[in-house]
Amino acid sequence: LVGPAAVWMLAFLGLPLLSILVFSVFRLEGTMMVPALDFRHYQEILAGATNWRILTWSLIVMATVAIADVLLALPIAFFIARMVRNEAVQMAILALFIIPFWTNYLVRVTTWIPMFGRNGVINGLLMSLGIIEEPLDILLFSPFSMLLALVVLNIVGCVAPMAFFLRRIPENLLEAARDLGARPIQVFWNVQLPLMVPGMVTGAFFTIVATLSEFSTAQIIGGDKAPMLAGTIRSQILYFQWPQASALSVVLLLVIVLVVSLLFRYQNIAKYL
Amino acid sequence: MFRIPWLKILFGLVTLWFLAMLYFPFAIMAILSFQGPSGSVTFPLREPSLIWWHELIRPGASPVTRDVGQFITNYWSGLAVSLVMAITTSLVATTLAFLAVQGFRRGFRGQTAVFYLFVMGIAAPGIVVSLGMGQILFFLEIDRNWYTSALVLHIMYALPFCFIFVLVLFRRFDHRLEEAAMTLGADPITTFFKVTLPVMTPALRGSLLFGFTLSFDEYERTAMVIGSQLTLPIQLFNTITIRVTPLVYALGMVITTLSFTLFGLYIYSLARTMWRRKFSVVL
Repeated sequence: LVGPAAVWMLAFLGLPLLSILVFSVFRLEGTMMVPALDFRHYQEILAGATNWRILTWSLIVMATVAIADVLLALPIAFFIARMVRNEAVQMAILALFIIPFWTNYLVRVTTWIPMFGRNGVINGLLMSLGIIEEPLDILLFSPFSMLLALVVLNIVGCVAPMAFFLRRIPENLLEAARDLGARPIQVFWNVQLPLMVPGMVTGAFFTIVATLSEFSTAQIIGGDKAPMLAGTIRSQILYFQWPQASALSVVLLLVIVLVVSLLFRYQNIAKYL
Repeated sequence: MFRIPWLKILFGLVTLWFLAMLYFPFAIMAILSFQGPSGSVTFPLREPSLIWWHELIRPGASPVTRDVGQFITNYWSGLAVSLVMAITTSLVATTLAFLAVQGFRRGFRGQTAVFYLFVMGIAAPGIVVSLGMGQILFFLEIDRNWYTSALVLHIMYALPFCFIFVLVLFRRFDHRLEEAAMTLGADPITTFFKVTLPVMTPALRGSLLFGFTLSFDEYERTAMVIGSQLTLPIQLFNTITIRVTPLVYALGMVITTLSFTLFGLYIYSLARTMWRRKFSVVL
């Protein structure tokens, strides 16, 4: 019964990834790809300072967005799962968080365009409130603006799983802790937080995967100043540098596999499914 | 924890603030889609008009926007392709996901490996998958079409999400219902269609919705394998990278309204099921 699905995944996920591996050692002669066993693209990646900068920046963006989202989702998940008493209201708030996720990601990125820039909504609001005199430079189409947009765009991936796991903690467990004399902060730190770790790991997984494959926000909001790995791969594809793009894709895949397996080693979310 | 009143207020405010951050951009986009002919993609709103909506509905009809006319595409063909793809993806991915979940419920050897294959489907960057597929097609000289090369990737992408969603909901399914049906003489297939599936309609509808939405909004995986008939997200991305006009906002509003309506219908059906059965299906 699993057969059709597994075969489908192997054929249309496994084969493309295999082709990435194969093409990454091909040679590019003019515009022709020649089958070869040539590791020069990897050497170029390892040698070039640009690529290291791109890799570091990708990892910084990934970590910043993931940590920010998990931390910001914490109070939200608590509010939804533990402070709102009515189940229908809980569902409604959660639905409000999930709804924006259901529209086109590109449209969501586009909605952030009027926010930034010298005449952007955020600068305009801050100036009319008298908080700032001049438009803030970091709110132009900058890496900072991109980070801000990414954090908001990905928050739902953290809120939903964290609220899910928080809600599963039985009430009498918390009561037991309180009866045994735990202060609220101890209940949180010693009981609720550990039981919430799977939710946080799931959230971090979604955020990490999303930011590492992300290039449209960097291009549209980030002003294309600091490309990340996926964006670099995309421009190489556009310039028909497929073997180079393949080699860089292998690097990106390795990064993702490494980060995800570290996450899963820390907390295997598979056993909760 | 929740006995501290000010903490509840504080957390409530954080929640509210984030909801505002999520919806505020959409509101701005909606307003700016009514920008006048000389208006730009940001404030101020100059001579509000319906000109961009008109341009979206009847491409090339309004003379005022001729200066940006060369960038205007007919989005209706893209919408049609996207809708057909999304419906097909949703049906195929849901069928495969339900089959796979039945297998997982029984357990089999290599279960973990297949599970990680699904995880990889979610984790692999779209642009990488698309490049890989594009290279295979290029090398084997296979034609790219939305109904072949692009469609199989859409299904591959939607399948893991549908699978995990259905799997999670099946954890709440009472398997004794199936046993009762079998004891009363129903064969496995009858049991599945007469007992399992009716109880699991929220999972079925949710999976269909997941498949539809993921395919309808897919850009990265489609980019290298689509051929000549473009999907709506590709048209949208092509337009955005050349020049953003308020037309894009109008188009964004159409897509957003469509997606939100579908999701709203699902939530409504879910709420009704919950109301009837007096239990939470999701949380």
